[in-house]
Amino acid sequence: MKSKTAKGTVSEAYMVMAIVEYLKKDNYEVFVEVPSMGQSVDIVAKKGKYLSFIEAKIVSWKRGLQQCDPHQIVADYVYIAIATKKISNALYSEAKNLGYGIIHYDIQTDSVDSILKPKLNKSIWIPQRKYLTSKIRELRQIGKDEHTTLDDFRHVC
Amino acid sequence: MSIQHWMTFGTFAEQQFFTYPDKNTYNGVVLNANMVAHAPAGLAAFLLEKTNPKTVYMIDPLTHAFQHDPDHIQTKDGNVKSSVLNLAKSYGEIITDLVGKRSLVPGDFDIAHNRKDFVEKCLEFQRTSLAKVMADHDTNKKYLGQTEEQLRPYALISPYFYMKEATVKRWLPLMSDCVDEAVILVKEGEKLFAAIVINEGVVLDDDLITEIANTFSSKKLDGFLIWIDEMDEHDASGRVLKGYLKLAKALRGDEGREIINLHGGYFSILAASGKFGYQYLTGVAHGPEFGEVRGVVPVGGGIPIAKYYIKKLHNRIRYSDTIKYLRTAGFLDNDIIFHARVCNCQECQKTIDGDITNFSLFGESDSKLVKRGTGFVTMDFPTRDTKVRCLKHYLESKKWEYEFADKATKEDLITDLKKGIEEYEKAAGINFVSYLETWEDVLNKGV
Repeated sequence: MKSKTAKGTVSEAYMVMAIVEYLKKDNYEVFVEVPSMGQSVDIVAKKGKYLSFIEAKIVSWKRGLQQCDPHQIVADYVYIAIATKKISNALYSEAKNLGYGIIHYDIQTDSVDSILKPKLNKSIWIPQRKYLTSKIRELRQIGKDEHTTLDDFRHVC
Repeated sequence: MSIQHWMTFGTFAEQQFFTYPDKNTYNGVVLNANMVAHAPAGLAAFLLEKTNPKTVYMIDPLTHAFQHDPDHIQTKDGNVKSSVLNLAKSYGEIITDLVGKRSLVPGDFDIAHNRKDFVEKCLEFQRTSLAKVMADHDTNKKYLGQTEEQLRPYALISPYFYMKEATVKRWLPLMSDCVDEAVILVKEGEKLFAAIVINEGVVLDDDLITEIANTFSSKKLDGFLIWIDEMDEHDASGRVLKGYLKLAKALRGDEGREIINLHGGYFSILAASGKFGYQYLTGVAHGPEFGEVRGVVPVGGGIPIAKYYIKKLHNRIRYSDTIKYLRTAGFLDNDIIFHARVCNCQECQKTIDGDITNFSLFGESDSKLVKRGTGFVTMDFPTRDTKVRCLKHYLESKKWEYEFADKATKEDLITDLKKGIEEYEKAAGINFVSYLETWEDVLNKGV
């Protein structure tokens, strides 16, 4: 999984796993590649009753912000995660405007940090959220089922 | 001045929808010649048993399929697709000799008798391949008793080729010669159409429009099919839409020939309504789902996503955006508001069933692992039930559009477009909804 290149960049999968470890240390229950309304959300992190959606990008944070947009229908908190040396001012101010948080994977130090706290999203559409919650329940069950394959297990970290 | 409502046949899985919402919805069905060549018995049964007996049909001869890179008509293992091969055999030696090996070029028809043979076989294929099978079919013998002549297509289509700005001068003379041959070959009572299949660049060039129209103006043609490669009426510029109307008007001519857009949306329906000073089209075809826009050269369909047709926007919108737009507009507050402001069709009534939270059924999905690069990702796919719900709602909305455009006044049609902007611009943004204004502007100014 670890795939740091000579130039010091990382693969998206590597960054995702680093963030997963970071979140788990903070007592989140974490799911990766969670299907939601035709998209695959890179990371869904659950703590108590709150769900955080995280879109990870190694380049093209603008596309990442676009992908975050539909998450506002179901997520309490929305984050963009980016792997860079430092966060650009443009990304910071745009994410702040939209109420999204930023998780930074520092490619120099190989460390993860939450550098912008998201606003609590108050525009969740409850029926869709309920539908997502039932999907997550299914994913959690897959993780507990000893007969499932590795491909199934990979949803639950 | 009713607008002919045509639907293009895609797959047998969709055949049940050709009488939805009711058996009188569709005037005609467009069938692709390769499917006819591949499954004539199945299509004959479909036409006899799954459509209204009054519904007519046309066979798109798909002659352009042989002019593209042979890769487009081959399977992954390099063989020519069996349906295309069957069609090539029906079109004769000229086509069978080159199919899968190289692209057809105009020079292949330099010898007049080769061209005549090709045109003859192309027309005969359309004339008889389904009519004969239908005439012999048990359903026809038991219940309908129609003769082969009565079961022939609505019109025969002369062989046609896809033209870009730079290739009009190469293909147009051949198409003209083919029409000349076809005019001699059509029998009494048969209609003959030509098909103008072009890219957007052609409709942006007035000289080319005039050249195409002049080429066919004096020929004994009853109508035209139009297909503009990948033209999405929602994204098309005002200039492209104007060019499209100019072409339609020029082809229609003083004789008022029939003009059917093979892949059109609500803009085309409005253009066919005659409420904006001129009836540019006589009919508009669409597919059960994706047929309002189609590329001449087929490309992969991508990952299917649930889309809901927002009637006021006259547009299929992905489910997550639909939720966003409807919520912002307050239309998901309860079922009464939803039915009053968004849709009151049978399918929406049945799905929502008095509880607005049931709108989520238009976005229900199953998760599947999909190979991407060297690994797998989990993707959401609409369930079969979701697809059917979205499709039924779409077909009811389309029926409504044809009827509304036919019966409403010009003022009502304009008010409807303006309402779409008013109700959704805050949710979707002015840029997104601006096509409604472009449509109004282009139709109001006319060409």
